[in-house]
Amino acid sequence: MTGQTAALAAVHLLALLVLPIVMLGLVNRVKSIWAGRRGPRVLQPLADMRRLLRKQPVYSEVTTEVFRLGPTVALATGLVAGAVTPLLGPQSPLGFAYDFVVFAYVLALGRVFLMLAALDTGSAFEGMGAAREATYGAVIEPALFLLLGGLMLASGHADFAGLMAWTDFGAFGVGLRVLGFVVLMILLQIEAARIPVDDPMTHLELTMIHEVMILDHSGPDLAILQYAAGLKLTVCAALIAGLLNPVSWAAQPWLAGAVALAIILAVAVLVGTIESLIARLRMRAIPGYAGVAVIAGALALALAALRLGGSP
Amino acid sequence: MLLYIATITLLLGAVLALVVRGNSLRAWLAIASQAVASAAVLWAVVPVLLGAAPLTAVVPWPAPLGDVRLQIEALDAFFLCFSLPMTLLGSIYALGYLQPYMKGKRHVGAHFGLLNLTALSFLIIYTVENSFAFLLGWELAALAAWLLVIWDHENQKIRFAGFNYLVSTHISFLLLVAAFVIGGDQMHSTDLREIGGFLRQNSFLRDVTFVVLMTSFGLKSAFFPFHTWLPRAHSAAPAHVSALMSGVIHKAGIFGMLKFTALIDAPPAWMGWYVIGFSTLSAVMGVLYTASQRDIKRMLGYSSTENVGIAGLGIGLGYLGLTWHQPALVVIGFTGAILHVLNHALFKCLLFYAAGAVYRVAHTVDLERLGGLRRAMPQTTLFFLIGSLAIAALPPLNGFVSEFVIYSGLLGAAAPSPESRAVLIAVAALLAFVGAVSALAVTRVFGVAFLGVPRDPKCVAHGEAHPAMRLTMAVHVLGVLAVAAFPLAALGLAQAPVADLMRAQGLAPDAELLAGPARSYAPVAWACAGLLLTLTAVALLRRSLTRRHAVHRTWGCGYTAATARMQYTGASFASQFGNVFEGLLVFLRRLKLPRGPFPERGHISTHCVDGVENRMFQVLGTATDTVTRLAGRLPEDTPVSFAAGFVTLVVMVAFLLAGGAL
Repeated sequence: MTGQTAALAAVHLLALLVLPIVMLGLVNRVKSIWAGRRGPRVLQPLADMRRLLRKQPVYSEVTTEVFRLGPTVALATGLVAGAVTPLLGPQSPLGFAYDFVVFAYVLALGRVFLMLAALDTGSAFEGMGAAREATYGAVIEPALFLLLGGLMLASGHADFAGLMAWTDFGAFGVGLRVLGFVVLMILLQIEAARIPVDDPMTHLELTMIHEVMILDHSGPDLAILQYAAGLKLTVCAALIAGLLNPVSWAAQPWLAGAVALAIILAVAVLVGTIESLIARLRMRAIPGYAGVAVIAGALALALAALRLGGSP
Repeated sequence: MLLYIATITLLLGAVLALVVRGNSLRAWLAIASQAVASAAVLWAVVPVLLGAAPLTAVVPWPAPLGDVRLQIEALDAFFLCFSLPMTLLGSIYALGYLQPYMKGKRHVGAHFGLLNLTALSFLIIYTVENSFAFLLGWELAALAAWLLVIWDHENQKIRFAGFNYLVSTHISFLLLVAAFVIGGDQMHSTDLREIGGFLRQNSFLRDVTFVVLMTSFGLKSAFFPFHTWLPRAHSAAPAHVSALMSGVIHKAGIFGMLKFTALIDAPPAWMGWYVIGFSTLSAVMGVLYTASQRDIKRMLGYSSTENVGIAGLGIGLGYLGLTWHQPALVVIGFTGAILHVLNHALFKCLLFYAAGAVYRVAHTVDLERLGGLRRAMPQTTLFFLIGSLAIAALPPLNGFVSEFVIYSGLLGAAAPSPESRAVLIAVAALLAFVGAVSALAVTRVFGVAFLGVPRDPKCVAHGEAHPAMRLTMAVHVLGVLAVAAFPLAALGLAQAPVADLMRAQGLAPDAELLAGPARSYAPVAWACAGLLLTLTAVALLRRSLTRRHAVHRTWGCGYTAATARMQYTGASFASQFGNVFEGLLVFLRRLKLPRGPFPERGHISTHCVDGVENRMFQVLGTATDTVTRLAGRLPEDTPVSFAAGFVTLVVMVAFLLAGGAL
C-alpha cells in the first residue's frame, strides 16, 4: 500500500508540474480551432517560458524587494495549493481535516503578494488591476466554503479526499454537483483570470485584471507568473474533476485517475470554447457574476441541510 | 506577596514620575517600576498558567467593600502574562513617540504615571473576586485610558474623541454595575463567586443579567454596533495608547465574557447563538469598514472590531459546546478565542506602533498623502508587512493558527441537527469573506503607504523612526513569529485556562481532550513548513535565473509624463469594493468639479464615515424633533393631551403590578 501511495504521490507531483503548460496550450489551441486557424502546438507555452527564462529581467527603478517576492510567492503558494488538492482521484500528498481552509488561505497569500508587487511599481494601471483582483477575490471567497460545507454535510467527511470520494449519483447527488459545477467554474474564471471575468488576450490595459498586474514583470519573473496562472487553472479544474468523477477511487484507482485527467483536460477545452464564443463581462457586472456563485453555494448548503434534516 | 510588591512598585513609580525633575528621568523611573512589576507578576503567575494551583489571598478591607478575595486562576494568569509586559513595551515605545516633548517644558511624567496606573488596573481586574474592587479596577482603566487619549488636548477633535470614549466606557461601566447589583441583591454578597451562584439559576432575571453583562463587555471590547467611540479614539490617541487600548486594555471585555462564562451553568442554546450572531456581525461590519478608511489608525481601529468578533465566535462556539454537551467543541471554541486574543494583542500593537512611527516620520497617517515609505524606513516597512500578513490571518503567521482552530469548530460535526450545522458552516463562509476583505484592506494600506513613490512632498519620510520605537516593534514581531514557529506550544498555553473554565462547569477534561486543537493543527503546521520550504526553493531558483538585471522606469502604457500624483490612491483602490457594499458603508464626498472652458481649481475628498454613528445622531435628532413637536401641541390639542395622560397611566399601573408580582 505504501508503495502505491508513494507512486500516486509521484504521479500527482509530475502531473502538477506538467499540467499547467498543457492546460494553457490546450486552451489556446481550442481557441485557434474555433477561430478557424490551426494554432500553435499544445506545448507552445513551454517554448515561450523557456525563451522568457533566458532573458534578462528589467526592473522599474521604483520597485523594492516586495516586487521580486511577488512571483516567488505566487508560484510557491500555487504549488502548495496544488499539493493539497486532489488531482488524479481523491488523493493528495498533503491531505488532512479541513485542508480546504489551508487551500483557500494559501491561495490568498499568493494573491496578496501579487497585488503588492503590482502596487510596488507605482503605476496607476497596476494599482487598478490589484484593486479589481482584491474585490473579486473577496466576493468569491464565501462561495467555495458554502459549497464545500454542503458537500461536507452530504458526505460526512471534512477533507478534500473525503469530499471528492463522495459517490452519490442519485437526484440529490446530481443536483448538488450541478450547483458545485457552477460555483467551481466561476471560481476558476476569477482565480485563473479567464473570460468572462478577465481576458488574458486583451490589448487594452484599462480592461485587464491579471495581465495588468504583471505589466512590469519581465523575463524569468514573467515566465514564473505565467506558469503560476496555469497552475491555478489546473488546480481549479482538478476540483471540478474531483466533483464530477463518477469512477470509484477505492475500486479502480488507476481508471479513476485517468477519468480525472480526462475531465481536467475537458475543462480546458470548455474554457477555450467559452472564450471563443462569449464576450467579457463589463467590470461592473463581475461582482454580480461572483454573487451567482455565492448563491449557488448557499443553495448547495441549504439543499444538503434539508436533505439530511428530512431523511435521518 | 510578589503581587503586593508589584502593586506598590507601580504606585511608587507613578508618584516618582510626577515628582522628580527632568522628563527623561520621570519616564525611565516609570519604565523601571513597570519592569520590576512585570517581572514580579510573571514570576508569580507563570506557574499557574502552566498548570500549578491557583494563587489565593484575602485582603481585609472595611465596609462597604468587605474582605477582598484575590484569586489568580489560569485564565487570569494568561491575561496578566501578556498585559503587563505589553504595557511595559508600550511605555518604552512612548520614549520614542514622545521624543519631541522630552526636551520641552511639558511634563511627561503624568503620561507615564498613567501608563503605570493602567498596568495597575490589570493587576486589579485580573485578580480580584470582589465586585466592588473589580469595578474600581474597571474604572481606573477607563479613566487612565481617557486621560492618555487626550494627550494632545489642545485639538478640539481629540477632546471630542476623548469625551466620546468617556461616555461609552461609562455606559459600559453602568451596565456592569447594574449586573452586579442585580446579582448581588439576589445573593446578598459582593463576591463574584457568590454572584456566579445567581448566574447558575435558570431564571428570567438571570437571562436579563446575561444580556446586560454581554452588552457591557461588548461596549468595552467594541463589538458592532457598540464600536462608535473606537475609530475616533484610536485615531486621536498617541500611537502607543491606541495600541494598548486596542490590544490590551479592551481585552478586558473578552476576559469578562470568558470569566462569566465559567459562572453560567449549562447555558441555554440561545446564549451561544446570541454571542455567535453578535460576533459575526462585528467581524463582517468591522472588516467592511477597514476596507475604505483613509486614516491608517482608524482602519486599525475598525480591524479591532473585526478581531474581537473572531474571538467572540470562539466564545460562542464554547457556549454551544456546553449546551450540546460536546466537550471537544468547548475546548476548540475557548482555545481559539483565548489564542486569538493573544495573537490580536501581538499584531495589532505592532501595527499601531508602525503607524505611530509613520506619523512621527512623515507627520501624517492619511493614506492619500503617504507613499513610498519603504525607501526611508525599511525596518518599519518590514515590521508593518509582517503585521499585515498576520492580521489578515495568512499562513504561516500567527493569525492563521487561531483562525484555523475556530474554523475547525465551525465546520466540525458537533452540532446536533443539520440545520444548526448549516448555520455554522454559513458563519464559516462569512469568516472566509472576512479574511479575504481583511487581506484587501491590509494590501491597500501597505501597498499605498509603503510602496510606490511619495504622493505629497510635505509628507516625505527622511530616515527611520526612533530606536525605542523600532525596538518595541521588533519585540512584537518576535512574538508574532514565535507563535507562528511554535503553534502547538502556543495552543498549549491555552490549555490550563480552558481546563479551568471546563472544571468550573463541572466537566473533567483530560489531557487528550485539551490537546484536541493542537492535534488538528499539527498537519497544518506541516503544510506551513512545506510552504516555507517551497518558498525558499522557488526563491533560490528565481535568484539563480535573475542574477543580472537592468533598471528602467515603470512601464506607463505608452504615457511618458506620469507623476507621483497619478498613482492609484487608497480611495480609488477601495472604490470598487465600496460600490459593491454601498448599502452598508456611508461615504461622505465633498467635491467641486472643474467646469466650463476656463475651469477654476477643483477638488474632491472622500471619507468613509461611521454608519452607526451617523444614523445614531440622525435618529436622536429626529426623536428630539418629534418630542418637541408633540410637547408643543400638548396644551392646545386635547386628544394628544389625553393620549399622553393615558400612556403615563398605563406605565404607572404596569410598574405597580410588576412591583406586586415581585
